[in-house]
Amino acid sequence: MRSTYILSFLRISVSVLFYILLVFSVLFLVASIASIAGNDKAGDLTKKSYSYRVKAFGLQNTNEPFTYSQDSMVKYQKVADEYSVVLEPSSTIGYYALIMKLVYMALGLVILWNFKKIFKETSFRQPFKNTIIKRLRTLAALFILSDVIKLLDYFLFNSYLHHSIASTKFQLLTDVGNGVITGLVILVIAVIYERGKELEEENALTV
Amino acid sequence: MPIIVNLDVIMARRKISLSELAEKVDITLSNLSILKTGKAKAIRFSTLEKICEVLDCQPADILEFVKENKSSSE
Repeated sequence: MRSTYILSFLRISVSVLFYILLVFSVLFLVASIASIAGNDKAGDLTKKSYSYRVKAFGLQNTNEPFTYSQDSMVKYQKVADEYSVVLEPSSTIGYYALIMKLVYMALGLVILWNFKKIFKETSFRQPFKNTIIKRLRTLAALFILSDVIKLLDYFLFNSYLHHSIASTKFQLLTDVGNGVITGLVILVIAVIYERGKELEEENALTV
Repeated sequence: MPIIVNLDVIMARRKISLSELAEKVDITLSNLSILKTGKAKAIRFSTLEKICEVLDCQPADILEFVKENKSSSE
């Protein structure tokens, strides 16, 4: 009974998340097109420009010393050589940034859509289904693909940036690895699920 | 599969219908049909015991091992 509630909660949450991301993606696309169409003046970096965090390696600037809280339980410091790069939307690198943002959103939508379908198809009466195995494998591939895209983005963005900025010390700050780990975990679940399906079939054909 | 189920032969000899046997053995008609058509992957000893008891036969009368000819399948 409790598991039924959890499943219903997950089903509703994923659906809500999917539709929020869908609406956000459509709004973002419309706003981006409007921004590119309305921004004829090149070099005018308005608030609608894209912003990226980059780190400049090799400048040998040292981090500032730590500042401690009153009870000395928390400390913080300003990180050296970290910059925010703002891109003009109607430039080559701006178009690239827009395309990459749309790719990430599309990927997010496909992942959430697959999760939505999995939770919709899951039932306690017949938990093992071939369609769910296929969707789990697709999800694993999508998570791994997201990391591959992040890596490609890292190299492409740096290459575009080095065209615009003479210094080649700026490198995009990105986190790679989470997608691969999540993908592999889902792949393991898919393999175990597939074995469960085989056992269920075997059980059904045992008289 | 090299295990052949000869349940239909024994049933014909004993002149017993599938539904009657299912009722006497106390298994579902669909499960008995799975066994009869050779689709079953396993049979419980308890089911085999009841079938043998109702049909008054030996397990070997129902199940038969036939060696697969590999060259014919290639």
